[in-house]
Amino acid sequence: MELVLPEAIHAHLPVLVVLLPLFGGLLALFTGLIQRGGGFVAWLWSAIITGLILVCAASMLFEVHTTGEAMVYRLGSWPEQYGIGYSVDALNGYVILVVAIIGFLSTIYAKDSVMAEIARDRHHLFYSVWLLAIAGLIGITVTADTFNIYVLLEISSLTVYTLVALGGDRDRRALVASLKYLILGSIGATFILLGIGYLLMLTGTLNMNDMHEQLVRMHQSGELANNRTVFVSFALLMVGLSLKMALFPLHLWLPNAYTYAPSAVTALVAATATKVGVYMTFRFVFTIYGGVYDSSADLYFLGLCACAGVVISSMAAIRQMNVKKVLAYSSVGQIAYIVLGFSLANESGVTASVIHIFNHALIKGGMFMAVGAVALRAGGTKIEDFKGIGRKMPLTMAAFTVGGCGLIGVPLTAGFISKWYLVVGAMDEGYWGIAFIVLLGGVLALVYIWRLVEIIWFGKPDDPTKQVREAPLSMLIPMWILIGASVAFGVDAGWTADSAHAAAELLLEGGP
Amino acid sequence: MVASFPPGFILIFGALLTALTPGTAHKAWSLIAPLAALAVIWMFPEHGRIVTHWLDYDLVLAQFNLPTKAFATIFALMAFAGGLFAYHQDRGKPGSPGYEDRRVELAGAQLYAGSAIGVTFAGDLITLFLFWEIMAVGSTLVVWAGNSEAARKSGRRYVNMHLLGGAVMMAGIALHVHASGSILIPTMTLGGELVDPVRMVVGEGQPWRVPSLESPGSVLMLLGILINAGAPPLGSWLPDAYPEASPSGTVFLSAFTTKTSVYVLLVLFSGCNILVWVGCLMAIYGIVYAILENDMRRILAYSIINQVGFMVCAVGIGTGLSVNGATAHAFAHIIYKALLLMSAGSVLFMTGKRKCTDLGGLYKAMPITMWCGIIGALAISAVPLTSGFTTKSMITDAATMTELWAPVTEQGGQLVWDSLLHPSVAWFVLVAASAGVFLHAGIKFPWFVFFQKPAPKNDDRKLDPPWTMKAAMILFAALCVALGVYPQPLYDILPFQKPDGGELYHAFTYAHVINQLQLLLFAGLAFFVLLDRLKRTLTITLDADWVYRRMFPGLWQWVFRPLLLAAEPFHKGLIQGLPRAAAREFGSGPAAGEAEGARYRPWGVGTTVLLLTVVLLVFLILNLFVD
Repeated sequence: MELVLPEAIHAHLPVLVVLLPLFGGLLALFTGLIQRGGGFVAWLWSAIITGLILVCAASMLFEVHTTGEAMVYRLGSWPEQYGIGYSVDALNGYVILVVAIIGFLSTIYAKDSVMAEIARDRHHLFYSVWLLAIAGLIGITVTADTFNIYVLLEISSLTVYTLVALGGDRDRRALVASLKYLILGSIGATFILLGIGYLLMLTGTLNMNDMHEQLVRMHQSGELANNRTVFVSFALLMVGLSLKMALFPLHLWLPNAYTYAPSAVTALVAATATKVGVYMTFRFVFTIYGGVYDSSADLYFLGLCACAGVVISSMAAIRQMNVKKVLAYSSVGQIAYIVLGFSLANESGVTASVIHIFNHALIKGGMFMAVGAVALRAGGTKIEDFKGIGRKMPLTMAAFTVGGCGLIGVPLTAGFISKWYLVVGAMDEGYWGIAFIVLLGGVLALVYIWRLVEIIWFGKPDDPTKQVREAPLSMLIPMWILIGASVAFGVDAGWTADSAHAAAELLLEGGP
Repeated sequence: MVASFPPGFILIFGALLTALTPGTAHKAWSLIAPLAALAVIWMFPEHGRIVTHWLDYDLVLAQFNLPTKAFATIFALMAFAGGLFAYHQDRGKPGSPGYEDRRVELAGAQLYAGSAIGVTFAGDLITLFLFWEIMAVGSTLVVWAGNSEAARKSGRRYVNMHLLGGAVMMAGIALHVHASGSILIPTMTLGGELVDPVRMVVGEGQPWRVPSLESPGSVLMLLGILINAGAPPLGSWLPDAYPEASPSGTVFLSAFTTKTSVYVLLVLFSGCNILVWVGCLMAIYGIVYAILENDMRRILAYSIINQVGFMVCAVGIGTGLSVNGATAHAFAHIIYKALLLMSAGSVLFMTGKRKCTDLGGLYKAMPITMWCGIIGALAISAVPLTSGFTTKSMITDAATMTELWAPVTEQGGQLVWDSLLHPSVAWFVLVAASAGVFLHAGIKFPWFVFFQKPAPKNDDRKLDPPWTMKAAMILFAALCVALGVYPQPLYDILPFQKPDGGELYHAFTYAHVINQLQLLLFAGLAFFVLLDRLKRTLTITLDADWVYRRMFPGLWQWVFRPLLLAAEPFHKGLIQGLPRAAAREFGSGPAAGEAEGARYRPWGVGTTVLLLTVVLLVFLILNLFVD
């Protein structure tokens, strides 16, 4: 990758991945001045920006893997204790790449979808907010400063609320969904802020590594023994993060927000936003508190929530009458798998979590894209709109079906790899019950996916005269790249498994 | 380098080509691909292994296990004959069940056959499982290609059952791998002091040990395999789904799934005594239901279970002779069962009728179909000079040598034996089942379908099917007779050979022939004496699939759903009432969702905030206890 980028730019990559979309988003506003075709220019601009981010993200992860060291960037050259530091290691380099891939592909995908779903005079606003959301998501991942995390979390959250609300052009319920998401999201963010504040009080620093060092020092000198501040901050952070990553039972904001958001937004947000929440949890639980605070009981509780989430949300998915909602509930279940993995706090479990962040992003991103294509061509995402649509949109629905196999965890799909590691992790700890729940989750996924597959391929359309065409190429290509990748990484899991192993080792260095 | 290519993949790629080739070229491919696969199977080096790395494991994609050659050979042959039989299926009369485009069925069948071959070549449990699952997909496509509402529904039950079986099997494999640390399929060896493989026991005094059923992994694996083998009560998917496929689809289906299970049982569970009794149960179950049944293809489907029962029983016995017998019988069984179903399929294809009560008197109109059907019926009944005789007698012989597989010893004046029932019971059951086979498949099928009533006067209907179907039937009929007269080529590829290269097994002893003829004559006599009782009326037989087709839905509709509805107010109170009460109590207005509650079901912000508080509380309490 070094051959692409000159040395001067290379050193600035960690900050570029945030600045590019941040300023790109602001500049996108000006496309509103163009009288005709402004929407297209805004899209093109976003595609270029996200494409550049993808190149940066890929070369960063490449460098981290070749040198084996983290890339550190100090903003304004301030020492880390005082200024803001960005750093990229095997874990967040990987998450950034996931966000960048999904960001780029869903931007490509957005062109036709946004044309159809959002009023013409708002396209420049849409793409502006879109890029800002990506800036926020990548920023949370790249920064090593806890307060900076909060700021960027707010940027990404506020922009996502806006993006969901833009679905109001198609369905007014998007506005209510967005409002509720806003209320709950803000509460969650408040908890996170409080948690960070307590940590600041305790350690006097905001930088993660520094914070960890201070905590270790205090732990060794015995100052933490009966310190209530530590565990209150931990509890506050866990609650806030659980809400942000939609861990059962704090997931109630998610289904409606995903369902009524514009199709492209759902594809982006479903594949990235909650994953970034999981990433933050990793950082807090392992990097900051690792080795100084015994979180095994808390992780046990998270694991319990996750087990319940796998079963209950999958059962909820079975009952839904809107395909987007089926997938949204399924997302809650899949996030529960991710949480379940790291709550085991052993290598296979954390590896499963990290792999599933990537695999689920591919699968769910691809599937939401397929559903969005149906929304474009058939005019809705209700179950009735899907009756017999497999014969009219075979490529789109084939992608949907293959993605569904991935959710079930059929061998030779990426979903199988995640579940494999998860089951191995559970068995290493001797938790047979968890292994059973993972398999039960697969069976439940089979039920809700099967129900859709049957309607799609064998159903008889209510109105046989209705003309429905195959989705445009600009949708099919990103969709099939994601779904194809999910199969490719299911057949040959070498690269994902190695990256995830590296990330898991990094996390578990300090112990839970 | 063809030789070092995993043979299963040829047909799997063939399936892709079949699905994608335009026009009618795919039909030619359906004949070439199986022959190519057969060639690769025979050219595969005897000690060759193809290994690939996946996750943390070295997967052995292909190697010869002891029974591999016989099973893989017959699977490839079957794919060829089935392709030949299906060749002209879309030339049927418009409106007849065989009229539609059969591309999906051919592609599915090739996927199915290819993955079955893949299973037989798998050198480790993970590869085996992967092919096992592909097999489920391929076979489901074949069932669905029946293109009727009934096929769609029973295909759905079929796939659910197999995915469930797959999940059980996978859990078993995971447990087993976790406990033993090895994914490899162990190599079967013979032990004992004798030199004659016929009288030696699998694994005695050797590294190979009979898998202990004390470990949960083995039990789950066994369960998963038995679901696929069609063992009652888990096997009712078989007679449910097979008769709903197209005429050629059933032919494909009859061959692979159950016989692959026999193969897997052979390599993993040889000598596991419980299987003797499972096999006996299957043999009896198949006969009882076959005698009660009215649909001709369903009769044959039940008789698959009966025949597989013999093989499972042989696996349980686990001596050199019985392992050879199970392999040989599977080989012969695939041929004559496919032949019988081809003959039934031809009848269905040309007349569109499938119930015994509607058929009969076809002997003049379909002479070739009739003769091939009769040869198949004789073979399944193990009449001397047919393939059934030269293979099945190995199993019954092995069952008589009880001292090898379940020695009866005297302990303190009491006879003690190392099996569930007295070992000689197994032999009696097998013999009785042999007579039963003759009754239901040997006489009943040809009698009710081709004879039963006289042919119409001046019957000049020409109902024999297109030439490809006839060719496929004649090919298999010839094989049935050939293996019955000269079984040596089959004996040569059996798992255990005599070290000195001597004759492995001699079927044509006086005792065998006379025994068998006696049995058949009396069974035949019984059939015609009891003919009035056996005449089928239009009935439906109830099988274990009633449990999931009627009882579970019924339980849901009449028991669980009312219970849930009754519990709903309580649930509502917990989820909605409590937060609202709390909100009122603390002085805030109605929950945010209530305003537009009439339009769609509200999910409250209040609920989430309440839950959030609870979760926070839990964390705080947890931490108090930890510190």
